Amino acid sequence: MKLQFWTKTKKLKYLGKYFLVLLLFALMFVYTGNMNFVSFEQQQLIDITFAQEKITSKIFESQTGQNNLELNNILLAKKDQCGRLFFGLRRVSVKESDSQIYSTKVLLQNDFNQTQELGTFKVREDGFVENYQINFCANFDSRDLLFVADQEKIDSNFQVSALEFYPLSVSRRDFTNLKATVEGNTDFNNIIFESGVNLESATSSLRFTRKVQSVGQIIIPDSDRISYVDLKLNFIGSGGVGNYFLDLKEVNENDGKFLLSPEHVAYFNFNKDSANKRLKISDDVYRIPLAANVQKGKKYFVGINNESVNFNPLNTLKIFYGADNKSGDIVSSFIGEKSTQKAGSLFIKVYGANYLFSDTSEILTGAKILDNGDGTGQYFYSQKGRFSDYLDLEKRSSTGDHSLDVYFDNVQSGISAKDTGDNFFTYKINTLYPIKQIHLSATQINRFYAGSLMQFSFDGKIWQDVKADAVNLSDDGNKRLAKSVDVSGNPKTVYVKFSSDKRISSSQLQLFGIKNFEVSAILNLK
Amino acid sequence: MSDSVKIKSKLIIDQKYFDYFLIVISVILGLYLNWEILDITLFSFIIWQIIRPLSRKNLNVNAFFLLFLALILLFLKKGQWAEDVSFLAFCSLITVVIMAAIQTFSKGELSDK
Repeated sequence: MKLQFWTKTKKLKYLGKYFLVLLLFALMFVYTGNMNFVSFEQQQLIDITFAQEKITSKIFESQTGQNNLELNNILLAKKDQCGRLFFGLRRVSVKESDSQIYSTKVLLQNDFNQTQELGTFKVREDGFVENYQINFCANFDSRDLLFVADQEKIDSNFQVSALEFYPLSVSRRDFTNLKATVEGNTDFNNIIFESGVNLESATSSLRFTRKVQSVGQIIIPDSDRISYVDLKLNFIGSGGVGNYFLDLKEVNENDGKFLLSPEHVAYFNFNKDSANKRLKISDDVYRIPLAANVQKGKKYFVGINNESVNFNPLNTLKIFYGADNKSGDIVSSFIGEKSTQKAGSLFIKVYGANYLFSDTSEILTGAKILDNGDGTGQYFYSQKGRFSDYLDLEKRSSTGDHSLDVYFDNVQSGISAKDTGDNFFTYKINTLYPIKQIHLSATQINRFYAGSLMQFSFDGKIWQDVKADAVNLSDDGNKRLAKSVDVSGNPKTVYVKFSSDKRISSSQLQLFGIKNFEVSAILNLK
Repeated sequence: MSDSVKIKSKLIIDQKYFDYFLIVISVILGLYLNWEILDITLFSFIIWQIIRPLSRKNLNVNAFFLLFLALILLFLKKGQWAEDVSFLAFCSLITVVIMAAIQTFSKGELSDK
């Protein structure tokens, strides 16, 4: 009897242990319940959406490890047709990038095995886009282009973007006498801040351990524009549900303590999936857009915060740093106003933006000024839904600080602004040659935003509204503002100002904004 | 007496492989959920401690070994590794304290009776 009782108790005790273990296994699933469980079909859908996004944004990509990319039906060039071809080349490594320069050959081809070499172009494997243009006259009817890299590399691929063909009605003989094309080829490849920690020495890591935490570093930029930030990151588990924010904030120093300004100067949000698809440039290194105008020599905090992520220590993010004996920098972690510091530096590179200057005016990113060969020229500029749209702004309403009154909205892929007071933002468009006719158009962000008012001026003083009767709908159902103007007085500059349209009743969101802003003009080149 | 020993040993022999299996499962679970090695080690250690608790003496030895290892790693300037190992040492020490508390509580319970 006694033995039976012992055995039963013992069995219960053993079973109890296993129940506890099973409970722990179950708890781990519940605890990691904020994992973003995605079914195979859902993942396929995400991948297709991403691929579709690339197609609509005209990004063509070679297969990893392949050295050629064939683009069919991409242009229509008749025999002896002359024209200009613009494109961007980018090379990305899946693993670690090298500093080697790769050559890529561009060929015109057709279905009858005829090929015409258009040129060879160099690109570094640094994840930056190199913009090129080719002037050519076709030797045969063609619709296809072939890009061939000079050597295969198993873990890298190349991308062709912003491909545009402008046919010209000039003969081969006149083609060489055309004025050189001007393209706003902004250089985003200048590092304005870099820590003394390289990729290999950034082996220590800080992971988010609390809710509403910011981990980052104080930087002093050597330029007045920021475009990108490179960081070494590693997502743990699913990375967490929600979006991380790369933040840029002003820093105030009080009794040797650093305090972060509550306002953001700029931010960019991302999660594991979007970061791996759009921002990863090599193993663990992410290039995150951060568009901001800053003051040279002033202290700023660049860091990642998790305030929009459901915190979970098993599904989180690690930021890498290392010992940086040269600069004596510190890595900071902020939870509210409390901060903890660690000696060392993040693996961090901050990039600026160098605009192409002509006389005293800047040529906006991607803007093109082309000679038609008949005494006229064309000007084209369009927003790309990228951070550079923000850096192209000439002026924002000055409230005395650099807070987010006007900002690049990476959710809406446009420029958004607070609908407060007289808030506005302006583009200054420099065409280099006198304008004969100009067409301006822009789309409002969405119906939850306040209506936007577009105004233009040739002197920056007298403004004309884009009238209400010119308002129509864009493809995505949002209001589109558009106007064509015959211009007199040979101006070479046009200012376009956007503000909240006070004639329209207030919005759900106290914001207004625009996307797909486009300018085309006919110029007098005589 | 001899019967109880037999039953006890039989139970242990039957369980042995199942216990190992559970440890393997905990590691697989950690890998599936894409945890860090440190998290997997800690989770497997907790599972092991539930099903086959190490004696306080062994835990003490384990904690001191980990502390010593952390010191060596610090000396070798392997900061991240040293940090991880010291975290494991800290967990071992916590376990020692919990075990001691349980033991004290059990003794107290017995003496109360």
